[in-house]
Amino acid sequence: MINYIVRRLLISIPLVLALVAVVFLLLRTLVPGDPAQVLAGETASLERIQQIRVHQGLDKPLPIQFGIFLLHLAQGDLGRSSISNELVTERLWVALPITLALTSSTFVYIMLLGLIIGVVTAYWQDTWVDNLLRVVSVFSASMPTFWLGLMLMLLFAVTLGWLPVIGDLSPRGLILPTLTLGTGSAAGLGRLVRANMLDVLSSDYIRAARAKGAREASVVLRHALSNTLIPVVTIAGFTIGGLLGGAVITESIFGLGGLGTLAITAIKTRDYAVIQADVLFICVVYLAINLLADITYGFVDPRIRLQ
Amino acid sequence: MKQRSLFIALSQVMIVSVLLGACAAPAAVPTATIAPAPTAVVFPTAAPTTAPTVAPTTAPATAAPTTAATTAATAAPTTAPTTAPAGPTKGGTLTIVDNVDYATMDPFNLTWTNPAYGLMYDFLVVYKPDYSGFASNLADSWTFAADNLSVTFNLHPGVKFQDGTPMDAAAVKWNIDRYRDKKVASPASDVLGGLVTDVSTPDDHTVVLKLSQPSAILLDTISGMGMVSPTAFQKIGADNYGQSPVGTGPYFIKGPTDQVANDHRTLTRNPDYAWPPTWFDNKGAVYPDTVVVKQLTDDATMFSALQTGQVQVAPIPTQFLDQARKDSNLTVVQGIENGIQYIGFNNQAAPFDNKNVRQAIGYAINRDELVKVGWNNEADPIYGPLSPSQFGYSQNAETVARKQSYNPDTAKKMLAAEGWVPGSDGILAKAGKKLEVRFLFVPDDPSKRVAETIQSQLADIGVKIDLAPEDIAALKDETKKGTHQMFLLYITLADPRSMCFQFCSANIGGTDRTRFKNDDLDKALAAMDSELNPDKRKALVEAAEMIIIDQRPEIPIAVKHLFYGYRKDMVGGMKFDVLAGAQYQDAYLLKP
Repeated sequence: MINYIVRRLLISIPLVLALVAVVFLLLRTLVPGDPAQVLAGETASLERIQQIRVHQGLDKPLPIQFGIFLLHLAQGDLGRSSISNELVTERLWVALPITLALTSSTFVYIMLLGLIIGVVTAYWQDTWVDNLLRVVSVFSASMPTFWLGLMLMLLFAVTLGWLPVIGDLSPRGLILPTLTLGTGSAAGLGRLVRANMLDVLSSDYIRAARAKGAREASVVLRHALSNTLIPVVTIAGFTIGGLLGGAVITESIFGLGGLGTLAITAIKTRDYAVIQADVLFICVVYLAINLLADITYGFVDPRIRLQ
Repeated sequence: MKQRSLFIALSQVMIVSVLLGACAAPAAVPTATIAPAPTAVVFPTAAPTTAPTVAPTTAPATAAPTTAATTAATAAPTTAPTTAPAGPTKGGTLTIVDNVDYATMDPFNLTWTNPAYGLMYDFLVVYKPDYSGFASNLADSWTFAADNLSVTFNLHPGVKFQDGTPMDAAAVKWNIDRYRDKKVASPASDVLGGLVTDVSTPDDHTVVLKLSQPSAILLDTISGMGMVSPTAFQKIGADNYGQSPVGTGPYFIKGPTDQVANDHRTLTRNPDYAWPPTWFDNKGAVYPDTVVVKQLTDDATMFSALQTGQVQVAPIPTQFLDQARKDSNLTVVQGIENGIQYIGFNNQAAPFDNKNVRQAIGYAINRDELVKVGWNNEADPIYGPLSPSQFGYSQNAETVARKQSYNPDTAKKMLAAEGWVPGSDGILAKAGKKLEVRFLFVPDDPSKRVAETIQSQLADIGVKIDLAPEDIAALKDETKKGTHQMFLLYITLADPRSMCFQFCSANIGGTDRTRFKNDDLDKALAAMDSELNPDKRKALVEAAEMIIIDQRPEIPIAVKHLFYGYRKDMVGGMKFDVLAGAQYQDAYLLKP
């Protein structure tokens, strides 16, 4: 196990570096827009724009800029935001708890709702419950995040006044962002669980459990559900990565200053240091979660051994 | 039975998971007000015939807010107050909105301002609320020398920075020296760098600026320069100052934890504050304990937050204007944009290097339709290069410009005279080359609708427009490099030097996105910048306007109306300038 983890971590290093290099080059070669111009403002003189460019090191050849970036990265220095002049690491640490709270609550919501939908629709296959939930699932999975967010806001915050429009880290402040971010994924997970549950529920060992007189709830939730969890763990890893990306829209709608908002603001203002750090951070989190998912296989199904 | 119990168990888990947080007490639903419905003070639009940019030699008079109290608020209260208005109440937290991207609070590195900036910094002079000229803030008065080559500021006595150090002449000198230092590259350095040659301090309350030439734009620049505590700046250091800024304003930021990037800023009342501009009723410390400036860049969220009272003061996006006007809890205030929306040409590239082609395009543009489709009639058509709210706006120039108003037949004739004739597909062509134009625009609301309408209008005269949506940074980059043909953009500035940013040949490759070069215009604009006599300066502005109208390096299309709203059942004492900019010195919470 330890060898496996170390090997995966070592493989991750060139992967992260490659990604960093691609983002670095794409920003400076393919994405139009001059950070010095943005920073200098609309009425800046050419002289001042050039001065800012020199100050930010943007006048140097690309390989030298990249070398300097790598050198600083090796020292744990991600630079400063060109717009706010704050250390990028500080910006990340401020934004991280917000995104972490949102993705955590959403992850829990997706897992619970997805499993419940999957189990219910599989157990009551082809009944009105199954049909209704499947229709709702398809509808939910098809809804664009921004539309769902605005509709939820209109209903629960503006019309009913039950929940706040602007999200925050309190349980009440996280409900609408969580529903917005997680409903589509929960519906998708529900359909996956349903398909797996249908296979499992028709297995011999389930019939054997029932023949032994096991309680129905125990048969479904302990014997059947536990055997559908392997694909769920795989999906869970990807889901968290997806949540980090999807949080961009949700955070923007609900006024949450997390990593998503940080990224989108940085892209708009061509804040290279922040974009690079944000992408790097999300990449590392994504890799870590996938590694965690692989390790979790072993716990969910002892037959799987990591090598 | 087993199935039923399982169903119930699962249902319970699902309900608990979805509504976990909802078991907390529901949000307080805003109740209908029985408190007095305070009216907003909106200062009337200044007559552009006054002398705005030249400083008075004594402390300037200001607009009288009390006379304007009920004239300009656009939404009247739906119910009459049932009780007499009570006095301002202290305490509470006022929540307002910052709807532009997060930026630093370090004025020497400032890219764009935000509401928090105006709340925690003061300025030597400020624009009057009607933008007719300048009023005192930290400088009680200012005097230009007879030769206009120096200006003396007399500072308000007893002003202290939020760290307790005195805001005296030495502090002002330090600030101006830093602002004008080209190595620092502050936004003000473009003007002050070559203009201010020396700053002296004859005594603690007097600052004298020596100038290399007379300048009509000096005060405009100074009005944007927040005064920073030199002690705090040197202690914190240039790199980290933006996280712990120290000014002299009515609110202060306690430290870095009060600024959560892209989320909010929390400002605390400055109890020592006693030097607001003269038009405010409240001459001392502000009433709310704190102001939270919430960062909200989504229009729907911003308006919903205002509707529900989660924020009390916010800009009103045009698409929510009808709803806002019908909302009995909201007061909507209307202002006018300090600039114009325009179609710009690359004047150095075919086909727009030809004046007649540019003018022909101008004749093909139906501004009334653009205002209706694009801005739902919440804008005014404009034909000249200045907005009525900018100094020097000339009705005479606007009348001349209107002679080039919508006339597609004239447009077709002018293009035909230049050799552009319709092809078999109806698109104009000349020497085998079609009149096909790439049109850059930012695909936001309402620019997308405006661009599509322009595309349709130009199709009517045989010009094929290829819409090219770009984000703002990309659009500016392309127009700076000169690889563009035509673009849709806006420019806003209180001073008419907006024309120089757009058309001075020295700015080609920078702010002169039209790449327009005209020696007469360069001379007129340079003379305009150094003329302090208001009447003479106005004549120079008009001369420049006339050249621009004749040459048509751009097609001005509209001046937007601007809207701000506030919860009249929650906030009192709101004042607004002519741009619908909220002013908070008198603001208080009705139920703190």
